[in-house]
Amino acid sequence: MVTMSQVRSWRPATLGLVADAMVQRRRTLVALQDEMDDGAPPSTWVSESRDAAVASHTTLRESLADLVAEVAQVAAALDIAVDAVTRAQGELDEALGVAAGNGFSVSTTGRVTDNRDTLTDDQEVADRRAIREEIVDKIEQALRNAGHADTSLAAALRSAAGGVDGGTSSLAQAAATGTAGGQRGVLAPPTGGTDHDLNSWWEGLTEDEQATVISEHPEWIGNTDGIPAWARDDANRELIDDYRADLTGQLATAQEAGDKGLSETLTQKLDGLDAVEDTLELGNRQLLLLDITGEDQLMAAIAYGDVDTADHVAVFTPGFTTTVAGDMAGYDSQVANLVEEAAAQSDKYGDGGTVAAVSWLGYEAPQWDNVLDPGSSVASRAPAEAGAGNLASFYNGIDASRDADPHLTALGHSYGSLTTGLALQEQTGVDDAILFGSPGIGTSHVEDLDVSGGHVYRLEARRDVVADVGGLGQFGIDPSYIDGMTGLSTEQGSIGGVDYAESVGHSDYLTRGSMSQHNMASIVAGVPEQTVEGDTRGFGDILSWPLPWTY
Amino acid sequence: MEQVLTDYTAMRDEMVAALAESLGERAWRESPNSPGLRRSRVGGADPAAEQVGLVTWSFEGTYAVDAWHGAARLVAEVGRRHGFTDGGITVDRPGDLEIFGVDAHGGRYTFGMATNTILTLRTGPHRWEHPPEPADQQRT
Amino acid sequence: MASVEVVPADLAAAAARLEEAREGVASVRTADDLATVTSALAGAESARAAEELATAWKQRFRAWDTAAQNQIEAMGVSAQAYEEQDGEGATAFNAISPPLGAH
Repeated sequence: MVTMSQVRSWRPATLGLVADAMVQRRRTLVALQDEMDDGAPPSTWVSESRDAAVASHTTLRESLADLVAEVAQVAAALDIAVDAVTRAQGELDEALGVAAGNGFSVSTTGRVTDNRDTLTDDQEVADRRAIREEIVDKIEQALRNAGHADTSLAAALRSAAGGVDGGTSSLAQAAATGTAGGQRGVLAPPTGGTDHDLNSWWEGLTEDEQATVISEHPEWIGNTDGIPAWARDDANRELIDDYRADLTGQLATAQEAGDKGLSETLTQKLDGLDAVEDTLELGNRQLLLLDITGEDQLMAAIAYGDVDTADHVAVFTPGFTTTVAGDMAGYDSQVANLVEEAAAQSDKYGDGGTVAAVSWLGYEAPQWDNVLDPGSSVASRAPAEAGAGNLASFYNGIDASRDADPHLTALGHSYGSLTTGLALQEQTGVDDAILFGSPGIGTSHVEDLDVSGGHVYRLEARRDVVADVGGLGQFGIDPSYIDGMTGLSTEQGSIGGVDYAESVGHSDYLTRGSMSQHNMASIVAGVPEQTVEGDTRGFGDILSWPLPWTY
Repeated sequence: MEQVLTDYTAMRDEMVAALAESLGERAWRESPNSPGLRRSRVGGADPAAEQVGLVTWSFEGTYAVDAWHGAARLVAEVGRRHGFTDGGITVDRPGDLEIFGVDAHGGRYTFGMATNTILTLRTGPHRWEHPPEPADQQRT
Repeated sequence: MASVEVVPADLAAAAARLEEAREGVASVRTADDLATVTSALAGAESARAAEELATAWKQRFRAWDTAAQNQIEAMGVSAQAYEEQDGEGATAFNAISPPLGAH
């Protein structure tokens, strides 16, 4: 492992001059092709001694080809090393900049120390710890990248020292062989790394290496939080055909074995891939997650808009009975409408900030046919708990993958609001949370959510029976009775005068032109002053009214 | 869909021209919030039908407040010439006016003035004759 | 078969071109380049590898130069010998292989 002081002492600019010189050496040697050809024993010379002369000329030519290949390999390896060392030093500088800007010092050995000695507030302690971890992560990744640059260059130099076969063709061909040999293998992502580690790893790769990862190892990054959305999208699109082939093969085997249940599951996953492709076909979409390994369902997440650059990003998590095959198209359409409404509000009232939103079907939501399965029923927290970790990581990955954090809104509907509520009990960068048609959010206290006070919103429509099932204990109480949440109107009405429709029942919240959709769009767009507050409580809420001493 | 987009684009150009003639030229621009044609499916009876959002036009700031209702009338008049009926006033309060119109196919324009001025257009569900490749979705 | 005059002239031309190639290869000096790598990456594994490569190339470029020189000389000898006695040239060529060795 290289040390921080070593890496800082390296001089990539000087190395760049050597790389340029080595390229020049390669060109000089390749340009000797004509001299070597003309220098061969002439064909006019016919004698026994000519055969020996031809043999030794061939040896000479091939030896020169070997040298050309070696020089070309070294030139290519140096060129890559210059870029990689420059990046690694840039990453170190950035880490040191973050440290200096936040009152941390970094020793020459890379030890990070907080210069503030008196931290009283728990939140402040947690924040300082998070910043310190980020700095440490960045330094570690910079050193990993520098180490990789060094070992790759050393390997190329040693390989050249051991001799490279330039082949028996032309010197130019030998140069091409050498140049190819000078390419380093791509550093694999750190295992068990945080989303910041993974982002640093990604940013440490050259553009060519990033392209290589996408084309040759898309599975490394497709579902990896911390990787930029564009790259995840490219990688997941690369994987669709492979996944289809894989599932089709599995389906044939299951059918042969007469396994009806498995065949149905696999068929539905394949239908899910079709639904994903149908949606991507519309353009302006990013495929941020695609996972065929779920026990029962395909998992996927599709963004409308550009998650890498949008000023406002929303992540929508649906719930009970949701599947990619059956629901991706509908949710994508609703999310598109939400983004359009939010974008219009941002343009009209706000700073014109751009908006993107994700339909996140990244967990196996409970289905009717497993309602009776105690481990995976809608009356159980288990699927939500399983999904919440992934969802929290997904939120954090959005922040980690970007230079500047977006205004991030979490939306959870129905059982998805439980998943969202549980995810938000972890530390995330979510700024606003909207929970609608919610049977419970996994807690009875809004303070348990890692979202600033006043930024958790609740919507409940008239005659939404799901939103009244609170009191199941394990879900937390009916959100209608959680103090500290802001209720937003789902009723017909009344902004300045006219025309937002009421939402009725469990599945009408995102309907275009509804008060409910308008309100959610206002939060997503960062113009909460445009919302209309309100609480809709029906008869079901009276039944679900919790007794104060029970929660 | 192709014909609808052509008609809507012409209508928008007319709306902006009518506003310019009466209230002066403004620096209308395409909103970065609405890149290209934004397609979504609507489901229902025809799974191949799509709605398309055209690029939103906006300019920073707005007209003088006493001209707002006049501006809204101009836009609505152009809308009527293109088969849109007045949908109504979404918002009319100090510092915020927004109207919309709808056509027989579920298309909708919105014209609003608050901090900034916006004109958005979204089609109702239609089928494409030749659906564009995602990369070809030019700004309209 | 070519005439007695043509063959020595062709051999001399080939030898001259090979001499140009030899000069071209000799102009490629990599020792300083590799020393700079060593100094620019102080403490790195690559710095040590660059030293190893410098040693290897020094030996290999020198061997190639010697082999090319032998070939050029042998072609000169052959041109001379051509008119006298064929076969002497073969002896001269057999002598040039060792410097390059086996790869």
